[in-house]
Amino acid sequence: MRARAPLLIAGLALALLLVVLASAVLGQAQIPPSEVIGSLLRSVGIPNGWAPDDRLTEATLWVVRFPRILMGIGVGAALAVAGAVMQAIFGNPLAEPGIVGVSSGAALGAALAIALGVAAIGGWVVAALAFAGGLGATLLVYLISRSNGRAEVVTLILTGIAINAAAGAGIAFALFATDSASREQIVFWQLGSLNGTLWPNALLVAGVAVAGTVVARTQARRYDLLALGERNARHLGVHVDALRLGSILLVALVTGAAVAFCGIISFVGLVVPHLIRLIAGPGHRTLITASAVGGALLVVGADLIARTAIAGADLPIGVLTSLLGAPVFLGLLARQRRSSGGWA
Amino acid sequence: MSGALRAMGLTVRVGGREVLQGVDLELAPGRFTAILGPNGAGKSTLLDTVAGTRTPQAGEVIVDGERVHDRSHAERSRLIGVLTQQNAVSFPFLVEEVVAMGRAPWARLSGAEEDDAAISAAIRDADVGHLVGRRLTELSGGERARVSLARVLAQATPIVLLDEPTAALDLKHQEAVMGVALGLARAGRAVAAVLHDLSLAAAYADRIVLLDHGRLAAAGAPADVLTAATVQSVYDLPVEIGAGPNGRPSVTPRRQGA
Repeated sequence: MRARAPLLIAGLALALLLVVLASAVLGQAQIPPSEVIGSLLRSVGIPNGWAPDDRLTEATLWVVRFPRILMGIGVGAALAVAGAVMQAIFGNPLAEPGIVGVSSGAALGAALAIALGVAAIGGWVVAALAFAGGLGATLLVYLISRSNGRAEVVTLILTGIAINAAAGAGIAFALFATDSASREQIVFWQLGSLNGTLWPNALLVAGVAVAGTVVARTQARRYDLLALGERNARHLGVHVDALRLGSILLVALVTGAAVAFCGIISFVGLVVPHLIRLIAGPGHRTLITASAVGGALLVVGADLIARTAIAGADLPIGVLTSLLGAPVFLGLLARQRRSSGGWA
Repeated sequence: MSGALRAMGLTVRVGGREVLQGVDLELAPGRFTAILGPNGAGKSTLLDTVAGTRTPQAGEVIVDGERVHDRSHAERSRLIGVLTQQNAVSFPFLVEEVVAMGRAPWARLSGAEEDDAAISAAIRDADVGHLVGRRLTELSGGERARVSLARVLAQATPIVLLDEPTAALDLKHQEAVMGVALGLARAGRAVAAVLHDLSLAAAYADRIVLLDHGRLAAAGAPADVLTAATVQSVYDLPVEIGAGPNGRPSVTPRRQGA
C-alpha cells in the first residue's frame, strides 16, 4: 500500500497536467499546444518561437482560459480535501459538504448577499457570507448528528436532508423576493459554473485550497487516530475537541471559498476521497494529498467537458459532477449492501 | 518514569448522577490489579478518570508526583495506555497500521528501530501475527479486541489500563490475555484490568478492587476481598467460594438444582 501512494500521486499529477493542457488547447477557438506552451514560457521570461503573435489568442489564454483552469484546480482541491477532512471528523465515509448541507448553507449565505444587494460592496462580501453559511451548516450538522464520536449514517443523511431543505427554502425566498437581475445571478450560481472566472478570485480560491491542504496534511496522523473512536484517540494523546473545532473551521473555510465563486459543485468531496481510499487505503497522509490532486483533476476535466460537449454552450459544471457522482454514490451503496447488508 | 499511580477521593457526576463517589485507587509498578463490580458500578468511568481523559468533580490523580489532569494530552499518552471496550474503526485500516497507531504518542521521540521492535513484540504478545495483512473491519469481535490490545501494548506505557480485555475472547485467548497482563506487571508495569469473571480475576490478580454503585466496597488480596458475604452483598446473588489453584478463591453462583 505504501509503495502505491507516491505512484498514485505522481499519476494523478501527470493526468492533471495533461487535462490542464487540453483545457488550454480546446474550446471555441482551438489553440495548438505549442502556442500554449510558448505563451506560458514567454510569461516567465523565456523568449521562444512557439509563442503566439495573435493578440486574440493571447487574450483567450490569459483572460479566459488560464484563470478558469486555475479556479478549477482550486475548487476541486478545496472540495475534495474538505470531503476527506469531514469524513475523518465524522468517522463516516458519507460525510460530504454537498450531501450534509454545508454547500447549500454556503449557497444560502451567498444568495442572501446577492439578494440583499450587499454583494455590491465587494466580491469578498459574497465569499464572507458563503463562509458564514457554510460554517453555520457544518456546526449544525455536527452538533445534531454525532454521538459517541461517530455520526450514524441515517442521522447524518437525515440531518443533511433537513439542512438542505431549510437552505433551499431560504434560497427560494431570496429568489422570490429579489429583482430579476439578482435572480438570474442566484440561479446561475446555484447550478455551479467556472464561467467568467477572474484572476483575483481564482488566485484567492487556489490559495485557500493550497493552504487548506497543507494544514489538513499536518493533522493527517491525528485523523488516522480518530478512526479508532474518540475515546481511543484521546488515550493516544489527541486533543480531540481542538482537532474537531479546527477541522470544522477548515472545512467551512475551504468549502465557503469554493462555493462563493463557483456555486454548488457536488459529489467531488464524496467521490474523490472514496476512490483514493480504494486504491491507496484509508491512511490520511496519502488520502489528503491525493484527494487534492484528484479533486483538481476531476473538476478541471469536468469543466473541459462542460464547455466543449455542446458547441457554443457552457453547461453548468455542477450538473456534470452530479451526473457523474450519483452513479458512483449508488455503486457505493450497492457495494456496502453486498458486504454488510447496508449502512447501519 | 516509575508509573506509580494514586487516585484519591474521585467523585464524578454525569447528568446529576454520582457515577463515582470518593473512590481511591492505587496502582503500583509490578502489580496487577483487577477492578470488579456489577454493571454500572463505575468501572469504566474510573479508568477514564485515572487516565486523565475525564475530569472528576472532586479528588485528584497523581502519577509520578504530578497531577494527571495537569499534564498535556501527549504526555499522558506516554504514561498511561488504555484498552477501551470500543474496538470499531471508521475506515478499513490494516491490522498492522492499527497496531502502529499505538506508537503515535512517541512520534519524533523514538527511533524507527524502537518503534518496529515495540510493534513486533506487541503483535507477538497479543497473538495477532496471522492477521497483520488484513483489514480491521473484516475481523471478528474477538480478533478486533486482540488487535486493540496489541495497539495498547505497542504504546509501551508504564501504566496499562484494560477495560474488559477478555470480554469477547474464547477460553484460550482469555487465558493468554490474562497471562500477557500479568507478564506486563511482572516486567515492572502498573497494570489494572476491569473484569467480570471473578474466578479469573482471583486467579491472576495481585490485588482486587471491588466497586459497588460508584463506591469502593472492598480492596485487598483476592482471598480477602472475594468472601461469600462481600460478593453476595455487592452482586446481590448468593455464591459459593471454593478453593481454586494456588489457594486462590473461585467464585460460583449458588444455582437451583445444582
